Amino acid sequence: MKTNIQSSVVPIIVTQELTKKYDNSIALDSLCLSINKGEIFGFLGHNGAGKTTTVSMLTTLIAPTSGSASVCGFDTQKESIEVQKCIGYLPENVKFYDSLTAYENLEYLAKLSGVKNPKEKINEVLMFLEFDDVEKKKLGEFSKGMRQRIGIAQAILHDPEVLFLDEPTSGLDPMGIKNLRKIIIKLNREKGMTIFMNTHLLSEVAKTCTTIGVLNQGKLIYRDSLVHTMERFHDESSLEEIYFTLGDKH
Amino acid sequence: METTLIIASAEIRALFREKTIYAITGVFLLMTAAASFISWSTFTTADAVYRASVVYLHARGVVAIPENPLHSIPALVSFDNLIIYVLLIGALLAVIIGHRSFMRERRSGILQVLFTRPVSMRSFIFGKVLGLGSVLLGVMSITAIISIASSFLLPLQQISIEDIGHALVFFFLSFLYMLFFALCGLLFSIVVKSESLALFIPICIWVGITFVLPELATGLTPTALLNPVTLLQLPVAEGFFNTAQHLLSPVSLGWHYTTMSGELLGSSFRTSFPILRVLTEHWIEIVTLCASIFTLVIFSAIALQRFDPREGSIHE
Amino acid sequence: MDKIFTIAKKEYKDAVRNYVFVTFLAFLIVLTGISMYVGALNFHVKVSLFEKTYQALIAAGQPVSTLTRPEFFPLQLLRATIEYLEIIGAILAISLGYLSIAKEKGNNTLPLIFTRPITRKKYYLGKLVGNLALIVSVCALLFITIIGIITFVGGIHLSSLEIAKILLSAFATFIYLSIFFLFAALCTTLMRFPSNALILTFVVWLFFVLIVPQIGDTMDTDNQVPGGFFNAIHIDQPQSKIILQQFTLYETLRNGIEETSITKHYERLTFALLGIKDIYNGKSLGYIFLDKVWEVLWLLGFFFTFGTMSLYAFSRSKVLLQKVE
Repeated sequence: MKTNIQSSVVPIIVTQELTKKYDNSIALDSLCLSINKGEIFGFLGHNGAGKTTTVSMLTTLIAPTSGSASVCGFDTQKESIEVQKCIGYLPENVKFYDSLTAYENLEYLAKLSGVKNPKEKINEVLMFLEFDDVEKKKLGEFSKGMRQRIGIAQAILHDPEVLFLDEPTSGLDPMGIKNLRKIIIKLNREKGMTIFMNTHLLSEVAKTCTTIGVLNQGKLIYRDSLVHTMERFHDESSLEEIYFTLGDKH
Repeated sequence: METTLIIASAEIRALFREKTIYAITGVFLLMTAAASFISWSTFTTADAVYRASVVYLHARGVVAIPENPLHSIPALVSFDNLIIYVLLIGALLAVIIGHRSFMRERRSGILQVLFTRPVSMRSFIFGKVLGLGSVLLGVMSITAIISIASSFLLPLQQISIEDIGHALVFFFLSFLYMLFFALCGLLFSIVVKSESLALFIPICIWVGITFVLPELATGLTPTALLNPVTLLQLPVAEGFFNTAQHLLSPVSLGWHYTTMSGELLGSSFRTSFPILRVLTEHWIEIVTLCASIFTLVIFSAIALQRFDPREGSIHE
Repeated sequence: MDKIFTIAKKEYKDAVRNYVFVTFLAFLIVLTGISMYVGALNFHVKVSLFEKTYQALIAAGQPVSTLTRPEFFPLQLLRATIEYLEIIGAILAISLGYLSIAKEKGNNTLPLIFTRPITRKKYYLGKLVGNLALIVSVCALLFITIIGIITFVGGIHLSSLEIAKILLSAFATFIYLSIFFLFAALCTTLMRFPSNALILTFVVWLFFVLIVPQIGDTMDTDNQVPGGFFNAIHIDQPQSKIILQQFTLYETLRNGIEETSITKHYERLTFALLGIKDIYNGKSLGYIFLDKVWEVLWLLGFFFTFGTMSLYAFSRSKVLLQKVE
């Protein structure tokens, strides 16, 4: 299933020489990246390549060592509050507040995002995600797939322009992965959301994303649209093979 | 037997690699050393105060000056504080060691792997108890060495072989007392699913044994009862407290521990009782303590039989 | 302000729904009841002992003027309760402070919060308001129980001054417990692994709540001999003071050790307020305040220092977002 590409040439995420160092190691090395409005960007790389570090900087969680980044036209460092207003984020392995019900979790996070009518908005989002009768359930009673959908719900309550997903399919069964894919595409098509997705599940990227970037040891080694990529590497039969070919070159 | 030893040695190794255990053991040993120093400096100062008092009284023409009361203090008086430290730090350290011992297994999810090997639940639990016991015995031995060595380095009185015998019995008693709490920590970490509740229950038991039961049996306030001197100079119980003392006696482990230790070290009467006298007078209490330890081991073994290793992960 | 209130409300709800917290609170209330009951029984035992001695002296034709009838002061029943609050109340507050940060770390929820348009400082303030409100509720519940027991079970009418003294003790308890809450939150914020922070906090608790006050007592020269050292050498209190003037360094050191314990300050203040220390019994609030202003300053000092430090640490800490697994 290919997505309906709504992307325009208006860059919504831009990084310039974005670098993050930890003590003696470089987690991200001079990343220059531009992602246009409406894209579903798949950020590929093996464990420890620097994907989560990148997302953490783009979502204002951590400060870069050098370089800069802007999201929705706002600098992530100097205008972090503005950036926070226009993004939604689902981290990897988030467990939420288990003492609260699903609804209470959403209400709490909606209020912190400054949503005016949390109740209406939650119902709207839950309907959009085809979730029913979950409001009073405790999160402990949820399956991993349902939790992940609540995770998406909390991230889109305030209608963000950009949605960051860190390994969203981690731990999901095939049905869960399929449902999540459906949601991501629906968000992109119907709400026009730009989606930045960290993943190492190549089959998912092939089915969901419009653009890909490959990160290797903190360096961006490849970035292009999925269509171009498949054309360029026509000798390779799958994205998996392309990924390994790229890896071997570096 | 071999499996038990393998588990015991793994337990000892794991405990020695935990920062937490180091931290609390460190505080415990530090306090042991500090206890000797505190007693020595207090004794030395009190001795100087006596000499200053003699000068003061002489200057006022007093002739009949009483003898220095400090001379009648038994040699092991510097160990008095250790009783309090075992009651407080030692018992809590033991609870945490016992709690961690099984929680570590649950967190790692290793139990499913372990129990698909030819390891019986019985040898597993005995291995754990042996490991815990060895660690506590090790901690108590270091405490004993520090205390006895410092009582030679900073002597208050001449220390005889007999005194050392008293001290060793006291340290062994302390070891048993701590083992009881370690096993409480172990039992509840098997029985209770929530990690914090599994720690919370033995801590409540500790509060109960250390503060509440002695309070109920004597009417004195919680912290006053930590001091062996207070406990050994109790007035005869009247009315409610008399009944309470009889009723609560079997479970008042902390109180018995303090009383026996006080008598062994000579805390209250300023002269220690012969070991045999302490042991024969308190045989019921000693049997109760040993029986409690034995019961906890049995309960832990039963609880483990019922434990589903697939439910090993931590619930909160 | 709205967001701070939302966070505070969530924190409150979170703790009230935690059954470990509720059980602990129930345990504390039961202990309060037991302590007051034991205190009352103790008084009855004293009275009956007095009666017995009195009757025996009368029967033997001896003078009874040396005997003083034990006087009942209801606020003195709170002594053991205060001691339990010092020990167990502090554990409760530590658990709250620890859980308030550790849960967020363990559940990986902080990235959800920090990517929303709210500053870290505001978020922590919300947490603070919620948890301090919870501690206020705990104190209110405990001290209302105490007033209830005295009034309805004991059938004793408390004067407005006595109620004011109980309420001020409740306030001192709030500050004391909050200090432990703030300290635990500070350690958990600054340390990467929450369990290590919990252990550190417990070690500090053990040391300053239980060990240091004991050291002060042990180092008292008069406690070295049963019945009192000075008594044994026939020296009265004024004389002992003159002699001890030569040992000011030692006495300063002994007091200095006690001063480091926040528990000792709380105890001195509440014991004065409740008249547990006899010399303050029946004294006016102004008199007690002036005499114990130092303890009040210590308590407030610790409260504001840890409050500011934890707020600063939470706004700046880099380890907050590090994974703990």
